[in-house]
Order: sequence, then C-alpha cells, then structure tokens
Amino acid sequence: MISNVLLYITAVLLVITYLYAVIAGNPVYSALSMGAAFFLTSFLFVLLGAPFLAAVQVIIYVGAMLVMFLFIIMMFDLNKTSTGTVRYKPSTIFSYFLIMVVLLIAFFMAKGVLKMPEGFTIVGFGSAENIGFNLMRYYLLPFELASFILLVGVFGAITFIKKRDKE
Amino acid sequence: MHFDLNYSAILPQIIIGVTLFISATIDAFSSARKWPVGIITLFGIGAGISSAVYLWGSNIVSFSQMVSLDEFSLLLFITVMIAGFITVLVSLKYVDDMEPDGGHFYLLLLSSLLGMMFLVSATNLIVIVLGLELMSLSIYPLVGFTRDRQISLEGAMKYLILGAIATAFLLYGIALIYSVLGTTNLYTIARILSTAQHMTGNLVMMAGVAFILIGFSFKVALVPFHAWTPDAYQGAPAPITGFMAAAVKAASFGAIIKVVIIVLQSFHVPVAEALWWLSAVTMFTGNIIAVMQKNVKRMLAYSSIAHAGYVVVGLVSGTAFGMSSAVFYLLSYTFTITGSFAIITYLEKNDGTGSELSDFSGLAKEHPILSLIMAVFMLSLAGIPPTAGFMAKLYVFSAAIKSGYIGLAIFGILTSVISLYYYLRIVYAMYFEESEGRTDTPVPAGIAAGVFIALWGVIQLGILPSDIMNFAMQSIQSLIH
Repeated sequence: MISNVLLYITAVLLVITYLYAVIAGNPVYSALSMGAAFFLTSFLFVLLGAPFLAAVQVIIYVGAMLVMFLFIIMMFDLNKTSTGTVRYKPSTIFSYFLIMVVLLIAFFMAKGVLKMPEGFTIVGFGSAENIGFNLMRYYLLPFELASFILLVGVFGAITFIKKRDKE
Repeated sequence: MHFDLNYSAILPQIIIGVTLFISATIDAFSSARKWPVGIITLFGIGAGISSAVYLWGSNIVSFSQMVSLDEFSLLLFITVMIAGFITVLVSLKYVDDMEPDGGHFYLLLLSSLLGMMFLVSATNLIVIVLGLELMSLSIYPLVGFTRDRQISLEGAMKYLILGAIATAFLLYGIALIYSVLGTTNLYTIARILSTAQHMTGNLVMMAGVAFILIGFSFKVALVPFHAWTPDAYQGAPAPITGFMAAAVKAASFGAIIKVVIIVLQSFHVPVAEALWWLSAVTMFTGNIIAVMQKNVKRMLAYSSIAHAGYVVVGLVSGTAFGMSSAVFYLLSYTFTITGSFAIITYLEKNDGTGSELSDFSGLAKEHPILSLIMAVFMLSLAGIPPTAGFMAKLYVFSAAIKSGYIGLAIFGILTSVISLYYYLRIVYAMYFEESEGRTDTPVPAGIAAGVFIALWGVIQLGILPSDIMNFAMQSIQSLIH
C-alpha cells in the first residue's frame, strides 16, 4: 500500500521533472531537472525491487552523463539564452499529444492482457547476483557486442578531433 | 533458456572482428599513407566471404539462441561483405587523398560490417538493436569523414540525430512487445503468437509492431521516414555513399525480412497493408523528386529511396518467392550501386565537387570504357535487360502479381518508367554533351578493380539469375522450417 502511494508520487514528480527539462529556457535548469528525473527513475527501480539497476542508474546517468552535459553547456556558454520557457511550434505539440493519446489508448485497452511471463519469479529478480549471472551467461553475446559499440565510439571521436600536421 | 557457446556460429563475425584488431594495430604503426591498412582489410573481408561460402548449408543456433548461422544470414553476409570489399578497393587511393593518417576509415568500415552481420544473424531483438547500433554508430563518423566539407558534417549530424530517434522507436517497440510477451527471443515470440489467436486485437502488441516497423523504415529510408537520406548521401564521401546505399540497406532489410517471416506471420494482414502503402508512396516520391535533381549523388540518393520501395513490393506479397525476390533485389542493387559510386568516386574532386550532372558531360570521349560501364549500371538501376536490375524487378513484380497485388505491381512498373528519364540523362550527358575541360587523371587501379567486380555481378545476375535466385530461395527456406 505504502509502496503504491510512493509509486504514484514518484510518477507524478517524474512527469513534472521531465516536462520541465523539455520546456526550460535555460539549458542548465534543463539539465538539472533531468538530473532530478534520473534520481526519481532510480527510486522507481528501488520500488520495483531492483537495487542494482537503481545504483547503476545513479552512477552512470547522474554521475557521468549529467556531469558531462553540464560541462558541455558551460563550455559552449549557452547560459546567456532566455530564462523563460521554450516555445514549441503547434505542429510539434500536436504530434506529441497524438503519440501520447495512441499509447494511452493502447495501455488502457490492454490492461487485462498484460501478465507476467511463464516461469517468472519475483524473488531476487533484480538482484545484483541475478543480473550478473544472466549477463555473463545467457546475455554474454549482447554484452560483448556492447563493448564493440564503445570501441566504435572511440573511433568516431578520433575521426572528428584528430589533429593534423600543418604543412 | 539453454546455455551454449558454439563459436562456429559466429565464425564470419570472428574473422571480421580479428581483422579489425589487426588493421587497428597496423594503423597505429604505419606512416601517414594508409593503403596497407586497406590491403589487410581487403584480405580480412575476402577471408570472411570465403568462410561464409564454406559454411553454406550449415544451420547452427547458439549463444543461448542469440544468433543463428543459416543460409539466410550467410547470403546476406556475402552481400554486405561484397559491398564492403568493393568499397575498400575503391577507397584505397581516395582515403589517402582526402585525409592524411585516415586509417580509422577502414576500422569504422569493418566495425559497421560486424554490426550488419550480427544484425542479420540475430534471433533475439536485443542483438538486433545492438547490431543496428554498431552498424549505425560506425556509419555516422564515416559520413562526416571528410570533415573539411561543411556539407559532410551537416549530413553526419542529421543522420546521427534522426538515426537516434529511429533507434528510440525501435527500442520502444521492443519494450512494448516484451511487456506483453515477456521475451525478446524471436522463436519464442513466434511460438506464443502462433498459439494465441487474440493477439492481433492487442493494441500494445500492435503498437510495438508498428514502432519496430517505423524504426526499420527510418534505416532503409522509406517515405515518409526518408528526410535524412538526401543530405547524408550527398554529404558522405562517394565510396561511403555507395556502401550506405548497398550494405546498410541490405542489412536492415535482412533484419526486417527475418522479423516479418519468423515473428509476424500472425500479423500478416495489417503488416502487409502498412507495407503496401509505404512501398507505393516510397516508389512514387523517390522517383518524382529524383527527376528534379542536378547533383548525381543526390539523384542517386532519391533513387535509392525508390529502390527501397521496390524491395518492399517483394515483402508485401508475403510468400517465400516474394521474400526471395527481395533478397535477390538486395544483391543485385548492391553490385549496381557500389559500381556506380566507384565511378563517381573517380570523378569527385578533393573539395567534394565533381558530382554535378554537368561533370559527366563528354565523359565518353576521354573514358570510353568507364562511360560504357556507367551506362550499364544506369540501365541496371532503371531495369533494362540484360542487366541485374531487370531480373530483380521482374522477380519482385511477378511475386506481387502472383499474390494478387496487381495494382502495386503496375504502379511499380509505371514509376520505373519515370525513373528511366533521370538515369538516361546521365547517359545522355556522357555521350552527347560537350566536355567543359576536365583535368585528366588516370583511373586508379583500385577503382578499376572495384568497377569490374561490380560489372561482373551486374552481368552475371542479369544473364544467369536462376542460380542466385535458387540460393535466395534456399536462404528463405532456411528461415521458414
């Protein structure tokens, strides 16, 4: 019961923080609001019984990505833009709401169909042991493939930032 | 889930991956001229093609049902590796001219090949996403490889942002399907769907399928998800444009065909209806806008959009023959488009100009053989016998007619007639217009070799298509069993 109440509070806060991240005129406010949203997402994982994912969410998204965003914003000195809210075109807002409505209808129509897959156990599902076991066993190939993607990220960065010898 | 590691199931991928590391090592210790890295890459891709030919007929599912090595994945391996081989051949001189110390060109090309190979051999939606990302993330920097050109960076940026949105759609679709079925394994999904009849009425499932189709449509540039294509294709270095049109398209279509055959049998009616419209709009828009282009790279970009529409005609029919004809179309288009862009690579100057229609004027006087081959490629793209493009269109349209989609086939034929106009304009410029004084450089050996391989493919598939079509049929059969 308590966790249900917490879930709804978190959900509402999540929508507010992400919405502000999109409409905030000042990019620093936008990034900080996104940071708050990351924390709330991690709290969502805690409520779902996945402490490992919650920790990873904070370490990677808040610890690495958000700090990088802030660094880049400060490097470009985008701070001088307006402090109000961004004005979007009516067509953008319309298409956004269209997608939202379609998804909401889909979810409400399908309420009875959504069910736990067969052989699914809740106990220990999101634990670090379980994730580690699955990642290193059944998901070994995707795991290694992801490491190749990181390697390509390095190649891509080299492509654009490599210094040339000036003749 | 059964746990097993059978390394022969990813043998071609291992060869390409090892080549990547060998090339990277040689790149680090070689001088500013990087053609030796290209030669090593050529050998690696050659070894990859040989291994795929050697493994033909095997059927291995391994790594906890993450990848399968069957004739379907092997045929698409060969297709993308041929595109990679010709691209590397063509780029040997080009890379050294454009960018000193540009060995990462070959490394990115290899890693994108690796991504494509996992994309077409995946039997799990997670591996499909990772393969797609590995492929795309390697292509974005390649589009911006000539970073002194404004247009190149612009194309790379647009491709990056729209590609990220496409991946978001794909992931969201996969998440929706996972929320309904609780699995990402293609075979398990197929098994659940075949027993549960009510699934077509499940809107979450429908939304998931639609999102996955949208994500793929971005990658293969179907109208209305094509907006990035002209800019990315025009901005990219000419060999990479050919590679994108051939290999990226072939690999993405490979994944679509696989998902449609294995998973979406029970969704056939709505999916075929969606594909019908996508195909018709794509063929029409691509060909009409291509007529108005003055730049040959941009023209061929719109033409590649139109060709994606023709491949979808094969998918709409939904039969084994239709799917095989789509695979055949991909192979024939690979040969034709990489060959055409090899010739454009020769004409492209260091500052990125040289691909306007006027740059082709009078080419026949100075390079009679090259012009003749270019004319053959253009006829193949338009679908004139005895070239590969004709047979490919013949198979695709006859598959559509056999399945009762006569209107779509007639529409496709009409749009090919429109396309004849702009392909023949290039031929006209080469043979009947006066040259405006061209600095005459000899054709580099790599480009000549690449052009001749492509020409061989176009003629072979045009005159003796039945062998290759049999291979395509086998490959589709290996998915259906």
